[in-house]
Amino acid sequence: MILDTVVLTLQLASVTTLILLVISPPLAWWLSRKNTWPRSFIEAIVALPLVLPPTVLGFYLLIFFAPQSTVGGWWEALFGVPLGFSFSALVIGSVIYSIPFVVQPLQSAFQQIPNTLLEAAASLGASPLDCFVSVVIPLCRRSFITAGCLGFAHTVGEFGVVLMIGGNIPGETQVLSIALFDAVERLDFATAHLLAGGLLVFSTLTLLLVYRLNPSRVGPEISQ
Amino acid sequence: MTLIARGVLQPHNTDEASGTFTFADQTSTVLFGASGSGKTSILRAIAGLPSAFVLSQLTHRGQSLLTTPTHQRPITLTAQQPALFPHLSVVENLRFALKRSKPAPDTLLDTVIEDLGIETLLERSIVALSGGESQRVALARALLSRPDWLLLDEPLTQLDRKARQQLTGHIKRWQNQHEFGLVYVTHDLNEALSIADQVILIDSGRVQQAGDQDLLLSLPSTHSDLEGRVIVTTFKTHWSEDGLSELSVSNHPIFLAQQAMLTEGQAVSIYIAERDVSISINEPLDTSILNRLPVSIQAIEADNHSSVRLVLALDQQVLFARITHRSLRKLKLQVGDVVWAQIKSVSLQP
Repeated sequence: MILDTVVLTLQLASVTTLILLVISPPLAWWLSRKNTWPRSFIEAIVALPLVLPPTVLGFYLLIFFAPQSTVGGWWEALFGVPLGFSFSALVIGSVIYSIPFVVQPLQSAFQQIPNTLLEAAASLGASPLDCFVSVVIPLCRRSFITAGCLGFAHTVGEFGVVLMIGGNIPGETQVLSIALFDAVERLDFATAHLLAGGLLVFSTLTLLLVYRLNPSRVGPEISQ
Repeated sequence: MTLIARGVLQPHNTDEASGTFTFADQTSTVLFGASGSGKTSILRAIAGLPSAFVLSQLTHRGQSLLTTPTHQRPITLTAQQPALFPHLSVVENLRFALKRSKPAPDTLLDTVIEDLGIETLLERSIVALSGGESQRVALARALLSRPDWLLLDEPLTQLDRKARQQLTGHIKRWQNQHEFGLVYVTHDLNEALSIADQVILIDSGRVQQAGDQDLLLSLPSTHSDLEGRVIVTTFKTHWSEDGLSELSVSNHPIFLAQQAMLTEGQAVSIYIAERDVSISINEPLDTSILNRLPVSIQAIEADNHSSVRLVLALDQQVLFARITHRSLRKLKLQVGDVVWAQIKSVSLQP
């Protein structure tokens, strides 16, 4: 049973991280280059999960995902299954909840790329996309790894959002942090120790990797 | 068949007519002017980068490039600070340009590498290069991108004199062989003389004067940051009725416009531009020029086809004089000769 939960948690974190690594670079790039009113607005929205109680986010997502709501109804019409309390719902919730952890390291890395390099690339005939792929991404390699690690670890560690929108269906939506909660409720401390210790070791190792990669850059900006 | 750029340098100028720059195809133009005169801004505007020089027209072979994005313009700009890609090695930087240029013969890369003398740097990391090496690599990269127009913004400032001379020769030869147009910004008269088919003098983004090389030789020295030397003198006294201050170098007087803050015995550094020094075989007594120093000729540097630089020594101090080949022949000057240097103007070195 624990194995099922571990596999599900890793699946959720992997899918979430992959989606985040696709949508975050363009968003972080846009945020790093334009200094306008809409930028500040989007920046605030992206950072919101850092300060908002996860239950607030979970509550609104629950409302959105309900079959009676527009999003929930649309989803059910399209895929034939309800969105609420499903793995898909967990993925959407996790993507929203972990987005600042991926966008922020990328954004700060992008901001440090000197304009002169981008101008030189353009002048040598590189299109904006070419420039992003052959100059920006290689220069920010470490930050991409950092962003991926943080997104993954944060998704593994989330609790409130998952509890609100996932329910607690073993093999379907029960992830490690919730299994831990369950074990404590059941006074099954042996299982609780195993889960808590495992999560602690995993998170420590992930952060260790991140800090090894970025001696000083990421530290203080990443806060829960 | 030309490149025409018309615009105004904000906020100095609003008059478009005087801000029209015309560069003939496959020729080289040197933009010459003081710092802040808008040279870099004009190059950036032509390349399509953000600039204080706002274009209203940019035409290349009859077609407007005004709305063409930077990467699609047949133009490569090399900025004063070489922007090499730090995640690539030297040779990878060169390939970056080659990959995005017009089809090139296979031997091109090797030829450029050899011409610019960077064979030994190829596998090096960009951060391990000196300023001069970076400039060589940036120049090689620009040549390999094979544009119709190459814009070079003071590309050789971190190289020594000899290397500059050699590289300007290569640039000029490349320009002839590969038939591109060149717009070259420099403060260095020798560079300008070895590069220019056309010279444009700029002030506040306006064309002040356009012409051929002769224009450069007729310039008053205040017009450009020409080369000169700083020598150290001692302050002697003020001549208030004449509005002059007297300095002394190796017991010879030097006068300059009165500097009230100087006190007796104070060491004073002065700058003497090479174009402000002329040469006389005998002590010139019947002249209006106040400042003259007996010097010995240490070297004669023939660095362009119309003029030479004399390196002159007075005790341990060195100054430069720029004279024409004609004068050199006429006066039969040779290394070791003791002559008089007449100095037209002296400025205080801050």
